[in-house]
Amino acid sequence: MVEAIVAKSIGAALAIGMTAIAAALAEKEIGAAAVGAMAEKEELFSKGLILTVIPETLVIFGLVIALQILGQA
Amino acid sequence: MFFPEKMAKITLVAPKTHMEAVFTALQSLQVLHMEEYIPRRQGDLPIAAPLKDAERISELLLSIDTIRKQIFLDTAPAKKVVWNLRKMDGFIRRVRRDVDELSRRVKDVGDALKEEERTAAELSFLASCGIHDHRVLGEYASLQMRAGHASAVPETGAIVFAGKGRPVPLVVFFKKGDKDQVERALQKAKFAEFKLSVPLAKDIPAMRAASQRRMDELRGEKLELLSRLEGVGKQYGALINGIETRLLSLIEQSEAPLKCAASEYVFIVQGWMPDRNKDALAKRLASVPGIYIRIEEAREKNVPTKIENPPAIRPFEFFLNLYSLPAYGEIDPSFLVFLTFPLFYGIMLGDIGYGLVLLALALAIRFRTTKMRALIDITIVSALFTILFGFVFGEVFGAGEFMGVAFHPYINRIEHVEQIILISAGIGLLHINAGFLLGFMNELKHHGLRKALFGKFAWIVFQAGAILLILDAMRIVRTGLLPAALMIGALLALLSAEGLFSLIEIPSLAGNILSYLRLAALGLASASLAIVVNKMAAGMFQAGGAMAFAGIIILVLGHTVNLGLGILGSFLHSLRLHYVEMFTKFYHGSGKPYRPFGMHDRKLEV
Repeated sequence: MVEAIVAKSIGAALAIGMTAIAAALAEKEIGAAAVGAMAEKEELFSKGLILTVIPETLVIFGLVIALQILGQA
Repeated sequence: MFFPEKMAKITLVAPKTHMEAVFTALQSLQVLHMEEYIPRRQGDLPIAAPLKDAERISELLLSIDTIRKQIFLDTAPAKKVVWNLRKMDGFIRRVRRDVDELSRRVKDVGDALKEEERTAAELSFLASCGIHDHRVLGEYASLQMRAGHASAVPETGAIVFAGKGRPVPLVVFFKKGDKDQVERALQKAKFAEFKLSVPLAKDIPAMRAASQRRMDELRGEKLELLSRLEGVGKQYGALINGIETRLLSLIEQSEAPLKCAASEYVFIVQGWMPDRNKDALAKRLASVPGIYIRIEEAREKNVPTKIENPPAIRPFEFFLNLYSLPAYGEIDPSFLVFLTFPLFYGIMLGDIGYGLVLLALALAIRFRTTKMRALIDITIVSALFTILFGFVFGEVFGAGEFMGVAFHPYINRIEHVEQIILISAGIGLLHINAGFLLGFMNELKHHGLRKALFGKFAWIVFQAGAILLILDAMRIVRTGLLPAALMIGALLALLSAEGLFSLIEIPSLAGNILSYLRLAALGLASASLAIVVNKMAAGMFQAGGAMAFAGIIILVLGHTVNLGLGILGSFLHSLRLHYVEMFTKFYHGSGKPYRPFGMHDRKLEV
């Protein structure tokens, strides 16, 4: 049987790691499109920035869960 | 400071004969933002005709641009020029002619040089094969010739002149009958042909010497031409810059009528200016005969925004320029960003050592150049907050003590993660509700008390209810039905004020508050990385000898990377928290920038 600490560590690592990959994949597409739009029209910077960082919340949720798993917060 | 500057709307009607006088006066005042007149319906007045010299001035500006592309003029400060248009025209024409001529000759010499260099390459190839007599390459009755490079000298039985080096340069002469055999051998040796095109008239060494001489001559000529171009730039640079400045102000004046309406005898100017300048304008234009000035309160939708802040807050306008200016009449959030941006930055970076390095870098850049002044000033304030929070967290380059001085943390970032997380969430709550309060004040001003209360304040009530509910569930306080009442009441108010879509905002509100946990997350990551670097370096130091040297490298490299990530990440995330989480609660943005007549908009550089 696996020790508790090992399972916790793997769980926390997966939680944060996979959410980070998911956010990165999402922001990659959005960011590329945002920069392309900005190259044509500078004023779109703010909208582009907001849209690009929308997937950040995924990582925050992952972090919270990881910390929960590890027994803190 | 709290609002963009108050504007007044101006309408001017004056006789066309005094157009130039009016525009000269307006230009020197530099306060009127003229609204462009666009005739839309049939029967509307036409646009006024530009003053006579507009086209000529445009051409001259274009000429100056062309000159600029060829010689470097930027360092010369513009001299004040009072010539008339004809004199400026003549001067620029002359300079343009000279510069164009010099540039053309530079290009011609460059082309000749290229030709000569190719000749020299061919000649050196022949020399390296050992061919010095030009007659060797003459026309033969029974022999064919190939020249090029191969990986090795081929075994063909033909006459081969070969040189040294890899790949081997060689010239092969063979009887026409042996062609196939020779070609096969060459192919096996990976032959690459070198086309010879120079007509040979003299001995090869003599030709090489002559070619070298010609190349030196051409190079010298090119250098001389380039230095002459540079000389023109130095001699006339200040004058040309001065002429350009004068032309820009003239063209602004000449093209100003394009923004005005005109009838047979009068022209009409409309625009906005800061309220406090209106008396100065009225006084200045009173001397124009027949002029009619109407000054009223600015109430349209598209009044330009002029942000006005005390000098301490002014650098933070950079963030508004980056994002979008406040609409006229709404709150200018610079005063809040001034407080919270460096605060968030300091919380995320939070290290005395990193803060000092950042401060030193920022100050160094500040004293060297005037570019990006706003950004540097923001960085300096942020660095100060970083140092402050370094003391709070007790971290110097990740460690608890530095050079024997121990720093006791008030709160340790790594051990007390839960506390930091709770504090971050609390900060988030405060920040977002500050946004709601600003939204409340905006709505109060524009849409009245009911919209403000039900649209913005209701959110605050809702959150209060939610918090009470949580406290009740945790048995900390007894509140009975109060939280439920608050929450339902707030929801009903929101529905009535903003419609059904406001319900969608509730989960996003939770997400927004959680977003502030990044204050804790980035801090944790930065501190952990620093500690890891320190531990690795300490291990290497203990091993001693060569490892100690590697330890120093790891220390420097690791902390540099961590510092870089910290600076970039803290800036970006602190900014993002403002733009995305706070601004969306109250900011309308899309304000029109204030561009007063007389400030040479055409080449306005940030």
